[in-house]
Amino acid sequence: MTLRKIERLDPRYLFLILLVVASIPMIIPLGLPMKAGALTEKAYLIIESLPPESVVVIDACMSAGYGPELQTQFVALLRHLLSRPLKVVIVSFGTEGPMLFDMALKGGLISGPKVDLEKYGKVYGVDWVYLGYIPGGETAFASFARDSWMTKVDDENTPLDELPIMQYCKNIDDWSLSITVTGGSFEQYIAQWSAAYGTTLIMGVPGVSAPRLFPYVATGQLAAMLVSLRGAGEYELLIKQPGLGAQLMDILNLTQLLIVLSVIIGNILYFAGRLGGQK
Amino acid sequence: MVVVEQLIYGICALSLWSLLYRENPIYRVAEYFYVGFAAANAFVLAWEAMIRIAWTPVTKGQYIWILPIILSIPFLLFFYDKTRSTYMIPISVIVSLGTALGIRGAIHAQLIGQIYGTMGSLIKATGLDTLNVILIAIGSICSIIYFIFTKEIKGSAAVIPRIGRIFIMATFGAAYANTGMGRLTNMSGIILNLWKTDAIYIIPVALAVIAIDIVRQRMQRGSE
Repeated sequence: MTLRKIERLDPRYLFLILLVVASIPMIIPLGLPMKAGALTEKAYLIIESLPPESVVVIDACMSAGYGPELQTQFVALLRHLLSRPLKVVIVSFGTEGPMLFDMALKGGLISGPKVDLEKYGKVYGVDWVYLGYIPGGETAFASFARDSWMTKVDDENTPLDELPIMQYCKNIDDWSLSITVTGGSFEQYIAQWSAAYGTTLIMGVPGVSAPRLFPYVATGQLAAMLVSLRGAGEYELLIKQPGLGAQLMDILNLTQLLIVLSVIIGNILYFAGRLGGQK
Repeated sequence: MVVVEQLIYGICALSLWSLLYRENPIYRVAEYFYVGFAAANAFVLAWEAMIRIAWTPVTKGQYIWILPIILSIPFLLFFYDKTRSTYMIPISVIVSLGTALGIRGAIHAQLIGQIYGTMGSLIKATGLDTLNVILIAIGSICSIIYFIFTKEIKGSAAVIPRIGRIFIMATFGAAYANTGMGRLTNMSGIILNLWKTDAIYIIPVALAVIAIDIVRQRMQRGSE
């Protein structure tokens, strides 16, 4: 096959190869080694170092379009929070968040096994609470920071003054840590929570958004960050509860390898073509 | 019920992936289904939130919460020609509030915070950290200079925007690689679920549909 023919190969063959390569770990589990990265480890250590009774606000702002990329991060973080003696306030600033939070509790295709609340011995209203969806984007972030009772009721319409946990969480001054797992509005979270009040902020983000957020990690405005599925897989290992994230890492590693090989081959062909005088 | 859920999952996933083969009606149906579902979900959640956050307090005597409800009505009037222009009232409130909040945050987070982080101190605890900070500082300055178009930078100074371009390319490269990782993550999740659940039964059906289409296309080409 000449270089020109390879260059003009129908890309659909590459998609087919990709699907075949991604299916290999399903037949032969590889168990490739994985080590937690510095950012993931930092997120873990921040939560580990929180004193008992600390209030942690976690925002389920995932979107179904990101599939397991964000959902696995949220599940891993939630498992860790529930395994510690903390006061966990869950909220959702994204429209798909409530649905995906429900999936996290029940288990699902992009979520992995269910988060078993009974296993952690947590009591609703005392150790954790779900405030439901809050619309408004950046305005809502700012309002919720100023007044964490802004919803007045939780997701089940129970008045907040009937929930003991909310006595610990009146506004952002009571928060020891804020976490958001989101596919957008990163700068807005940083501006309204971290920069405005100096609260510690951890983010779970998709891979595509990570490069634009590294400067915020460097300045400390973002305390730590879980990046893509890799972050979720690493976090699951740190909390010693391997789930869907760790399971998917084999597929991800193999397919990434194929992409890298394709890029290298593509470049070789390009430069070989130039040397050979092809346009 | 779980079987039905898994089968729907398989049908939707493979219908969307059918775009990789070629544009087709099955793909479009799946796409519209997703968009329609997301819109319906957003509408229901917004309605519930309005009842919970604004309407319930009004019924309990906190009449101030009637204001956001009144402000939302012009959005519905947008659909009638005679009242269309009224939607500008709530839009102006939202834009002004959003801009005010955004500027406050942007100045703190994106301007002062980033300048301090870049230029605050070039000496850090470890040699690698110091090198990192120096690289960030050089990268920032050179990248900003690259975008100065009012005056052409000539002579030996021309090397600065060239260095800036390398930094920008490296950033785009990292973003591209991360995008690839994200997309592959989604694909990995779907592959796993297709293999490990009853959705696997959809795969031979999808392959059969594609095979029929290939044969049909070849026959069409042959007859032409």
